Parts: sequence; C-alpha cells; structure tokens
Amino acid sequence: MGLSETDRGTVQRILDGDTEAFRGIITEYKGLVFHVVRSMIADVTDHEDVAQNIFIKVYEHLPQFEFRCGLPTWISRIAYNTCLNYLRRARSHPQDSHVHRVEEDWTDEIDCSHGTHDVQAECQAPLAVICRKEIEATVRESVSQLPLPYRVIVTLHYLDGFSIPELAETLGMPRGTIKSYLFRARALLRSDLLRRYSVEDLFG
Amino acid sequence: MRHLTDNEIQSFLNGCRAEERTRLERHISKCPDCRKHLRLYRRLGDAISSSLSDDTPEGFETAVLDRLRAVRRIKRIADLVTTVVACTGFALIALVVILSPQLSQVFSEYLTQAERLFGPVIRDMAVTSDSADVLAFAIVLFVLFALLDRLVTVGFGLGSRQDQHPARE
Repeated sequence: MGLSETDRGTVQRILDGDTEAFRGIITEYKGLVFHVVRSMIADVTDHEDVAQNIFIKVYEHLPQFEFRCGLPTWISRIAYNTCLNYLRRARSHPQDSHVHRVEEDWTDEIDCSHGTHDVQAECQAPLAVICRKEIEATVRESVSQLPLPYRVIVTLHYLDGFSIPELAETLGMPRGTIKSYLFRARALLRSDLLRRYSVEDLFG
Repeated sequence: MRHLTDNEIQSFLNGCRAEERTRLERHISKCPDCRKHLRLYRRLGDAISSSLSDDTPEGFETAVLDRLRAVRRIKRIADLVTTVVACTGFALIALVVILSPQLSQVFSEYLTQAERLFGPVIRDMAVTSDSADVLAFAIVLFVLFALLDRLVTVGFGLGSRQDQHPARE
C-alpha cells in the first residue's frame, strides 16, 4: 500500500503548517483507525477517545514520517501501539479504567468453541436471505473472540486490504508469523462456521 | 488424487508464486472438494467484510482538530513558562554575581579566563560572522562557563574556590 500523490501533497501541506489539511487525513483514515481500535478494545465508550489520541499522535509524529512505507501502514502502526499501551494501562490500573474485559494473553491456546447460541436452529428457511445476516452475526462474534493479534490481522486484512508485508510492518512482527496467524485465524473462523452451519446454508 | 492441504488453499488465496499458482489452479479446477474448501474461505472473507462495523462518529474530524488546537495551546503556554523561568533564573544569577562585591572579583576572573579560553575562537568567528552572533556566542559561552564552574565548586561541594583555582593563592 504505497503513498499516493494526494497523501504526499497533504502531508507536505500539514508540515508547512496547514492544520486544516489534517482534516483530509482524518477523513481518509478514520475508518482504518476505528477498525484497529474496535478490534483491540472491548469497551465501546473508550473508542472515540482512543481514536482521537491516535490522530493527535499522528499529527505530532508527522515530521518524523519518512515516506518509507505507505501512510495507512504508518497510521495503523501508531493505532496498534496506542491501543496496546491503553490495554497495558488498563491491565495495570483496572480501577482507573472502564475496561470490563481485560485482554487475554494472546499467546494462550485458543478456545474456538465460541458461545452456545444456536443460530442454525433459528434459520431454517428461507435460507439465502435470513442466514446471510445470521452468518454475518456469527462471524462477527467469532472474530471478536479471536486472540488479540489475530483479530487485528483479520480486520486489517479483510476490511482495509492489508497484505502480509503491510501487516508485518504494522504489528512489528516477522512476515512468517503474520502469515501463520492469518492462516490459523482463518482456519478457526472456518471451523467455527462449519460447526454451526451446513455447507448448503453457507452457499445459499 | 490427493486433496490440497488447508495451507495450500490459503496460500492460493493470499497469492503465491506463478508456477505454484498454476499447479494449485489445475488441481482446484478438477477437484470439487478443494473447490468447495476455497469457496468457503471466500464466503468467509465476504462475511467478515460485511459484518464488521464501518461507522465512525459524526463530527469526528472537528473533534480531533479542536483537541489538537487545545493541545498545541497548552504546549505553547508550557514553552513560554519554561522560557520565562529559565530567563529569570539566568538574570537572577547574573545579578547576584555582578552586584556582590566578593563575587565581582570572581566575575572578573571568569572574564579573564573566558577571554583566554574562548577569545581566539571568537576573534576567528568575527572575520566571517555577523558581530551580533559573535557577541551572543561569547555571552553564552561565558555564562555556561561561569555556571559550570559555580556548580562544580559550590553546588556539588567539591571544594573551596581556592582549591579549585590555584591562581588565587
């Protein structure tokens, strides 16, 4: 994901002191930032505040941006690190935070027997229309229960089209690790889907 | 016919080398089970893309820019306070050094020593630089020299001035 000419021009205008030009960057990348925040932080009441902090950091660090990677990759790295710091702080000061679900250690083994909600029983027919919504709800739930880096990887890969090298840059991990996490996450989500639905439902 | 492994199918999805891709494609075109496996992953990808929220709060840009202006205002005030405190401190130190009769003697010694140490450098600079820069440079060097000396001898209690400066004996 390279740096577009528009991005380059906008960055230069911001560096020249045009604060309003930063509005363009926020509009362009707020979706990406919220994807990272939502995939990492469970408490929705903190999402907007954390996302604002991320953009303040982006603005403050923009003079150090060396155009070596794409702007989306660089912004998502700041977002990822800001969320990690938030989670560390929440873990060390649980009384100061509204976080109800302290993140699990993502090196833990994965329990993929998610939930007990039997969606299949609720959608006998007509399958094509009803089940699509139900399947999406199931997938959303399954993604939310993945370990932390898997969630970020899946979200950035599917929603923002991040490639494995870009994910490696964002999360500061080797490409091989990212690839293995992505494959494992996908396999987990697939087996979760197959546990709840028949192949016919899924392709209906 | 051996089915493709899950890893091979995911590699196909993520993009692999041309020759490997051709091999996998050839197999997938012939094997309904592997085709189903691949379709399921594609269906999963579609479901992920459409299931995760893409909403952002209204007025988010304005909120960030307002906060940014507030942060910059606070930073400017903090910088101003730091500068004022530092300048006041320097001025007070300079006043104490210059006005005290005992310290005036020390002051003239500093001046002599600073002249001896930095004079040649300052005179060299005067040939090429603006005279105001030279003066400023000389003053900064002098103040730094004086402060460092005071800190070492008095601030850290490393000994009396006589011990540190044999010239006074």
